[in-house]
Amino acid sequence: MKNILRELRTERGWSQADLAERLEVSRQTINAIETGRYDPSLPLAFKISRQFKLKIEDVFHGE
Amino acid sequence: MHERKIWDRYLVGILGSLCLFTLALATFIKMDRHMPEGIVRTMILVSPLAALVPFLWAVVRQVRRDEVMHQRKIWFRYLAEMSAAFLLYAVVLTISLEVGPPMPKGILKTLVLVSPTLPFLLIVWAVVRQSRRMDEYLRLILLESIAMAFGITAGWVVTYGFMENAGYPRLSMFNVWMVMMSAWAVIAIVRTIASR
Repeated sequence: MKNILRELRTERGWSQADLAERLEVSRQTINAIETGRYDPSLPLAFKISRQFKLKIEDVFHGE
Repeated sequence: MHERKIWDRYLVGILGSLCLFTLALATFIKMDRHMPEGIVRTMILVSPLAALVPFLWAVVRQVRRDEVMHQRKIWFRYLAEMSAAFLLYAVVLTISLEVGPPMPKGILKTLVLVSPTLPFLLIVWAVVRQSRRMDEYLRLILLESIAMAFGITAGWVVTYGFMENAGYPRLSMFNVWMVMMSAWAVIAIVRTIASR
């Protein structure tokens, strides 16, 4: 699965730590999702998309 | 400070305290046979636990560097629970080793000597509570590391079982615990180096 998390985050001028704080996860988790090493669970994916006020398919899409 | 340097310092702290632990353990194994029972021998027996103090200090420093407040809170709660459980374990172990051996054989002696298991269960409980507080990715990493340590330990136990058939001496079950914890520590260190 691919995502545009890094683009969305940098557009808003947030660091990985800022986004991690907002989502109540670790900075390592944000880094792993951004680099494609980890695909989040459905609840976390929804939480991420809600954070950016987008639909889940706008943030995550199949390869 | 550059993030890689931060992780390097953390690793030096962790490895240093593990070396101290090994040194204290080796000293106690070497001296145990030659020392008469008493408080000095008991203190030497529990001395490896003192190596956990610099270990804890290295972890506290690393947690304080975390920029995510939510994560800091989670880890500090874990460290507080773990430290309390370990302190209790050290106290009960010292009392058990001091009081237990001179007692006459019987159920009371057995109970006194196995009493450190109770605070040990508190340590396990602290780890379980922390795994529930962790986010899903960190929990996955933790469970993978435990699974790898389990695999290595199972492989070692089976292999040594066959070696016993070939005439190697029978070892205490305590060795299984040492192998499992060492495997877990090595896996955690290797993964930290790989991901820093």
